[in-house]
Amino acid sequence: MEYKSVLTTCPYCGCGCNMFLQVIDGHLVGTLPSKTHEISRGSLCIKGWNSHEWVESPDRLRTPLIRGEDGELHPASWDEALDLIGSRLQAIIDDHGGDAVGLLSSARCTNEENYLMQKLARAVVGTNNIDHCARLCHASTVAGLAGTLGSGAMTNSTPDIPLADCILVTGSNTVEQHPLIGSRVILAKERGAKLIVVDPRETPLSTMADIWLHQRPGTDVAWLNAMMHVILREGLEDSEFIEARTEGFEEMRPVLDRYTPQVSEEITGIPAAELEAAARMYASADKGCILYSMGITQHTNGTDNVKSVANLALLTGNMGRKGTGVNPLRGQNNVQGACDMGALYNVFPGYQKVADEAARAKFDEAWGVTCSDVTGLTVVEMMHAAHDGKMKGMLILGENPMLSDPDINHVREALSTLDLLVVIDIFLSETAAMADIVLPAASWAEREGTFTATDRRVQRIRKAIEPVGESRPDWRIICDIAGRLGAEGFDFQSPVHIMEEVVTVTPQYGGIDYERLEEGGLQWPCPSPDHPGTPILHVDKFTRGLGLFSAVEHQEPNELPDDEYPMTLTTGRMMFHYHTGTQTRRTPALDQEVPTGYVELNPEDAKRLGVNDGQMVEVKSRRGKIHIPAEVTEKVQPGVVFIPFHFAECAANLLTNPALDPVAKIPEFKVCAVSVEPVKGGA
Amino acid sequence: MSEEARGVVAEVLAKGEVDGVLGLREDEGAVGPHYFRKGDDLDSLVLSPKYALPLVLRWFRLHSPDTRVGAVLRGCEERALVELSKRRQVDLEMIEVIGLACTAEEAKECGCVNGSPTNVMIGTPTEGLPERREFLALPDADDGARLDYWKAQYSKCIKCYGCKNVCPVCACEVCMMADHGWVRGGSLPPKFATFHLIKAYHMADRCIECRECEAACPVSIPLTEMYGRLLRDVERRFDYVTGADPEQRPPLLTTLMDEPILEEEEEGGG
Amino acid sequence: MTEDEWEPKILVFCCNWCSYAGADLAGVARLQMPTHFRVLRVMCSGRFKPEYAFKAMEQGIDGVFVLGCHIGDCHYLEGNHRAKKRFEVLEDMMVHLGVEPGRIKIDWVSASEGVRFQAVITEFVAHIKELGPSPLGGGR
Repeated sequence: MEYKSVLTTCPYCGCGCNMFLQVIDGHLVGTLPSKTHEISRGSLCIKGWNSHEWVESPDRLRTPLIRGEDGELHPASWDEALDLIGSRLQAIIDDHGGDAVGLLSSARCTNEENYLMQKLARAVVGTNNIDHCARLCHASTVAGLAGTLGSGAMTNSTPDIPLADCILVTGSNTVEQHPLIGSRVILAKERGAKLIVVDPRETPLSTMADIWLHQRPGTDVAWLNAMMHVILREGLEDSEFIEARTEGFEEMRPVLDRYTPQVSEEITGIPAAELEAAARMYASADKGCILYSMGITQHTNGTDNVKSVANLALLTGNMGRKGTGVNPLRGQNNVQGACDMGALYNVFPGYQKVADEAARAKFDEAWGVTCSDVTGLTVVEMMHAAHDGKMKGMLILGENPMLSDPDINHVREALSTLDLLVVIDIFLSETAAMADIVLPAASWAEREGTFTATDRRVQRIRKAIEPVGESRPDWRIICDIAGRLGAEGFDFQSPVHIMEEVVTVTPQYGGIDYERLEEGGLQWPCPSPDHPGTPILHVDKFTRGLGLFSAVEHQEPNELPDDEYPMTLTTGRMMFHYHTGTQTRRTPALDQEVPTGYVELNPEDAKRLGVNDGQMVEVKSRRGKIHIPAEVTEKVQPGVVFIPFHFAECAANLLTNPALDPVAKIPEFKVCAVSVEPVKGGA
Repeated sequence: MSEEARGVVAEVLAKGEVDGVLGLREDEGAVGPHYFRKGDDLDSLVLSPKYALPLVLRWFRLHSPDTRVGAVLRGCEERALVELSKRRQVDLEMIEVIGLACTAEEAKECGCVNGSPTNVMIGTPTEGLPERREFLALPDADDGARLDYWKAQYSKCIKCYGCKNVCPVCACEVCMMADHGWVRGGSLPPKFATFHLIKAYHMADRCIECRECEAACPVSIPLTEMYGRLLRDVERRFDYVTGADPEQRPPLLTTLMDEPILEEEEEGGG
Repeated sequence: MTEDEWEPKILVFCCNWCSYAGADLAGVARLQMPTHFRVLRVMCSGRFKPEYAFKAMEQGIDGVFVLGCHIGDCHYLEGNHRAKKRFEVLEDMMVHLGVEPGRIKIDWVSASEGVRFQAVITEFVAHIKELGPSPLGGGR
């Protein structure tokens, strides 16, 4: 008998829990949380505990697949598949230029693989059309916080959240989406910290909050401004901090003057008195910590929302100390790292701007090429370009836009227009099923690398078992594709060597190497080998120097309810499933908890529509319609419905609105107009 | 004590009566379970923190029933094996227990009344505490206050099933906690209080008070506060102590006269 | 629902061989009884699991009554032994949880004891009425 207990990092959310995969005779038999790890501390959520269950699923892709003349996907050898990709991709580049190709990288993959994907795009294909699903979750954070603070990442660390005296949670269902951060909020509350939740929907945290404000979806700037209005009116701001560490305050003030709690009440529906109480509670805490997530970012004014959140923390001096800060909770295991590695249309690794000539020169030299200065396309823009016939080929790594992107009908049309679609994945996802060539990737339990957790914590993942079938690690596949395109600089023997190149071009990662990571995670910025890492950003000064206040005005969502589509749809996730469900829906313990989707409907609306709990309803928007069982619940307010987006058979994203935030290009997943009616003959 | 343990484990491995020894290792900045083989470097062997090693031994038995192994186990872990053996989840003949005595401080911290394993090979045998730890957190006085206490505690639950997953004596093939007939799937927190009471009731005649469930609980629900009280009741009513004697049948599986009930015992069930 | 309008909801688990027949006999004899209970026939009192009590009370049941053959008379020899022992643990749990243990009860009624059925049911219903609505009802 061979038994191994392999320390690795959880493949799901951005908490970054560490666990031991339990391996007997080369097969995964269980999971144990690490007791000595700072984040997991002997615990995991239900997804982490069962993360081994899908790895050896019979559904795993085991060989490359090529679409034959009969229109079906057929098994092929690696050489056939790679040669075909090489020749067809090269033909597109030769005929239409590199910008006719788009690459989607993956926040589920390692830093090393994300680095290679953007290098493949920029140094080999010759395009900045590289993006990934951070566009769909925290693009507005990256843009908004980079502008106000200089760094678009969580300012503080997960372990210091419980040190706060007051925690303000908005647009984050923390317990379900970041369970081991949510549990810290619960424990902090139990020990006496104040808890304010601002969310249109009831969540496990809202039910235990001291104050729960439920705003009309898409009105965050209004209540945030009004909160600051109250703080200034009552003299609760931190004048010393504003004076010493910030700029732009005077320019912002006149805007705040207009947002009285009464004005906010008219816009948001939050009673003025409750808002005032919340403002006092947050502002009078010595250490106030803000946690936010996609309820803030996924709006056409997402960047403004983020800036507004930052304003609130700056105004009260809640920055640079333990238990304070502005903390965007990043959704995926490595979405922080995928951004850090420059898998974004406008930045190289380390957020060095493509538009910056000096940055381009640096990468030209490092890679021995001339990088394009043409601005790249983002996720949704790539789909538009494909739809319009301007984009000819796409290479998609571990993403499933056919379920995760807004307006799926449009995505389907776009992808089917392409001359070449290559998908690298572990399962035949809805997107992979449309591909011309599918390459089977090794799962997280079958390869080496690093993930960067939401608190900028770079941690190892380790190989526990051999890749199933003929699957190969993503980094090797990317190198092989680069090789088929005749590129040099991709002859890496292992992720260790890739990281050695990453650190030379990514200042924040300068001091990171695998040997140091053997002792545990390191939080960037970690610029040099002797640097201990940075648990808290902006301690003495902001990354950009001074913190910048931004005057921000309320702006209505792109699509509002009307007579034809009288209700507001908001979308999100749940504890028991993860994103497009390719892994969690193949996990018996999770599938049995929640086997399919549902639409949450307030009892008042249900009564008006004549809908019973569990009954099939049709939810329709301007873009599509789905049939889905109703869950009649007071979790949602009258007039608002909620659908989790994990389920292909009742996909929320057939309905959502692809309208974009003009700065961050993030779509408005959190608000669109829909109609709901019972399905005739539905039980 | 780790030094002593390395010597003992080396001796057991040298004798060659076991395939390997399950213990703990410090490596890669973390401590976790590890299977030491003959000839392995034992410098990384450590003794704490405690992991649910009986759980790993159950996996061993499931996947390789014919392999005889050694295991460095504390008193509670040995008692877990006894309970598992009663429910035919491990074969005690196939496990050589290398007894590790908790220090007096460790025993005190755990509120342990049971003391060291039978065959202490590492450390000095310690007595358990004279009485179970005071259940300070739980107001004894008033029904309403107790109920409020449990409502508040159980409402923190994030339904990770960690208490079940990590429990060395939870061994049912199909878990009632995960059965929709009993507990609605997907509700968060699970509705008060079937989810937690199923677990508590099942613990009444098998919990060995290792407190791994509490260590795994991300929201610090004092689970053994309930389990420990039930153990006391079972001890008082049926003169039964969990984890002590592999031959003693669990009282809920016997008649009022303590005779075996004539039916096929449910696998692991109670 | 106000306090005055409240009527208890009670589940009675009767074993097939003795107690259900006893209940039947009470009915056939038109013995007067309160109407607040529903009978669930199980093959044996040993089929009752304490988990049923948790689930019932979670869903708003105010009292759970289990009736089986007298000890020694079990159709399956020892099913009622098992029920009795489980019940003792269940009662202890109720105490620790802070729920009146009187909300659950086990007793024995043979096939010929229609009058006894009437007596124990009447007493149990009266006791639950005295206790009022279950504090677990509709809990979350």
